[in-house]
Amino acid sequence: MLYSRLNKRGIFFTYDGIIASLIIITTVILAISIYNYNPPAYSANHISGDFVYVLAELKVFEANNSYVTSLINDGYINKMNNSILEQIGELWAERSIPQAQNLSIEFAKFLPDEYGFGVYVDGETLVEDNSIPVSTLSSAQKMISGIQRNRSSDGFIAKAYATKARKNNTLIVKGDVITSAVRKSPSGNNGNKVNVSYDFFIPTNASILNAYWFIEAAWTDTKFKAYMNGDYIPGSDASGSKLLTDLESYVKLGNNTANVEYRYGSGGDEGGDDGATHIVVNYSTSQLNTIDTGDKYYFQMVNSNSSIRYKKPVFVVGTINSIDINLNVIAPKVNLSYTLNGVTYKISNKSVVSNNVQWSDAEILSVLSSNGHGYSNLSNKYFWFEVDVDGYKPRDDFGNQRAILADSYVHVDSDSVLDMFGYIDITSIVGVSSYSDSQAGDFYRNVAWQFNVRNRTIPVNLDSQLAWLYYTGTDPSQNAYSNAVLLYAHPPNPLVKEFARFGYTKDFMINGTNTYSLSFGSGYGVNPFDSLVSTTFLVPVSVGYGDTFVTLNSATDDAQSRLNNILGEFVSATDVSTDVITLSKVPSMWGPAVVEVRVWR
Amino acid sequence: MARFRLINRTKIRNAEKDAVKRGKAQVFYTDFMVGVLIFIFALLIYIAYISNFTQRDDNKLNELVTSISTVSSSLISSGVPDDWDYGNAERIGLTNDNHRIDLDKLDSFQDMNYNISKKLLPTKFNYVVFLEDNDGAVIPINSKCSIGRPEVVADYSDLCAVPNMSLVDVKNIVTDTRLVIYESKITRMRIYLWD
Repeated sequence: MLYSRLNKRGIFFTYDGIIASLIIITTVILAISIYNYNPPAYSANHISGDFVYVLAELKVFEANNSYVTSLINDGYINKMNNSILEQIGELWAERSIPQAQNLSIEFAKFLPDEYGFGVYVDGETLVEDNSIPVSTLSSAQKMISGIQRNRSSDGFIAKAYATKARKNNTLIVKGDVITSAVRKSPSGNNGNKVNVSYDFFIPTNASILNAYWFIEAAWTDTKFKAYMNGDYIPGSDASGSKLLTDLESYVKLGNNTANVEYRYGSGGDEGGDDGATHIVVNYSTSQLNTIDTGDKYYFQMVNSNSSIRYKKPVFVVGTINSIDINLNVIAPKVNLSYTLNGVTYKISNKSVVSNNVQWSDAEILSVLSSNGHGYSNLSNKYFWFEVDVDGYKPRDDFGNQRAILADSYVHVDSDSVLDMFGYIDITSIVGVSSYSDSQAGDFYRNVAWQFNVRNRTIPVNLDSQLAWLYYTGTDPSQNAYSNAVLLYAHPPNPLVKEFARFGYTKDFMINGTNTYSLSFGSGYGVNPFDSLVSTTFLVPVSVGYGDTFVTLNSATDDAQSRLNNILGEFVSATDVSTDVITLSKVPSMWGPAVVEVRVWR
Repeated sequence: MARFRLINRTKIRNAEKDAVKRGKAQVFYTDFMVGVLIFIFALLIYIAYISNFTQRDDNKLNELVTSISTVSSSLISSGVPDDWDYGNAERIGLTNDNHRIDLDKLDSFQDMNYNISKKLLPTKFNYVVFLEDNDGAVIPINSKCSIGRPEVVADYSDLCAVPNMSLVDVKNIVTDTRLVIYESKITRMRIYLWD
């Protein structure tokens, strides 16, 4: 009996031993698993680019691939010197879509197994492997073109593209409408100085050609001084407005900060910017894309010892999906409104917590809806956000510090996608073409500007910052035109008292000469000399195959001439590559087309 | 420990009687508690180890990722100067700048002293580079299976395998894959970087 019990106890010990061993083995396996983890792979960012490059480099004749051989045998491929990418494009252009798809799939086998891929030609999906779910995606594009079979005449054709170029671009920094009291109530200097900072960036490889700064204060008697990167600009101590020229030596490459310190003049209530201030820098750079494609509209930094009113203009090219606002401020509370077509609508008043206050998309959309507006009403035109920092009094005593700090912005999510691959963006100032009917001094009731949209360039927008004059109490008509198309009319739309900004998109532009004109009734005018109108457009860096020439040189010269013509006065190609093809019984050219490869895992 | 101690029969008998009196559950309960304690102890050590391991190596991994980006970009370029060779290399690049491997440059890279090649990539970490076809088979480069840290570079006889990383002390490792054209074939150039 006792042995029997002892034997059983022995069995219990065996169980214990087994359990303990399992625990130890499990622990050891877990520990070992740490050493055997898969090393992190870095490839996702460039595998698509690699794929495009190797397909653009590998020639048909060297491919040594059974599917390529079958396409050659079946007559689908007849140019052995084509790259695989060109061949995919050529099959696509000839609408041999299954062959183009299969050729893409054949070479996608060289991608690591864990990657999915898609090939797209001119936005058309050629092939897409959706077996791998997308968590990280990268994309690469290449412009290709070629010739189609069975052209009847012989000769040479050429295409050309600028592999390196320099452009003369214009950076325009526009001042917003910013005011803060410099006069106490009922009268006299309150001792306040309103400091506004304008930040801007010049590409670090640029050569600055010319720089000037026009300052226009909120009131005609407001005094101010200007500084660039901390250096006082001699002659900038003025009142009302001042044009500062030849500032090249004050502007530096990289980040710049311009400051204006506004102070009491001889009776005007407020210091600050009336919205017509602008800094203009002309520069030459080899950086081909300099346009700001960001989705944040930053506030300029403001420092004052009185309440501040800041009117922020926003012009979004494209349909707006959402808007949110982040403000870093020194103040106990902030009131937010928006202004559309000259009418201001309150959004809400908020207390500031830890120098920060925010408005979400839901809050803004809710107020828009309650006023019968949606984001479609704000898209492709100027609208304004009005921010009152600590309430707003045009006349006020010198008080605590109030400020709008760095990294304050309106964040706009929109469907605006500027695909600049193969293009150079250019912003240039549009010259005034006519003005008439003076309202007062240099303020005219009819003003027009003209600019040219050339073939193959893609206009983006026209943007204007206007030095305006309004006679209080009057109700002048207001009409803005693009060519013969009336874009804004009062009446029936509301009177816009501060007609400080106006812009429109390419939808209202035509190829050739465009005229932007403003026409006002008695009581309103703009100063064409202190206003600034600019246009932004995209210039292609390549031209496709042209006419057939008897000699190779003639074909090359023609391609380069066409390229220079399309680049225009703002861009000069510093390195041009020309491809010449000897034609024999080839009917027509295709392209240029953009092949895009997306790779994901 | 108590289970293996010599005890007299009376004590065994008394213990057995006691166990019988109180039932078998008592025996399992004690064993269970000891087992749970061992398991918790092991789990705590494991968690502490994992936590320490992750914190310690995050910075190093970031450094490695930054460095492999530099190495990878360098290798996929044409190098400096464009036509560099063993004698005048300032930066190692293996291609014609269009992703096609230049065999002369590959030879110079292979012949180069390992420590010098690290300076010309440049990286302070250990590296090995090898080529793979689309089936994952390692392609020999002349008489070797890879280029890099000598301990992991195997001689080519009949077959090449992925470098055996157990031959070296590896604390952290990152990898990168580039697509290149090597002898008219699309090839994967794989890079391992570790400390």
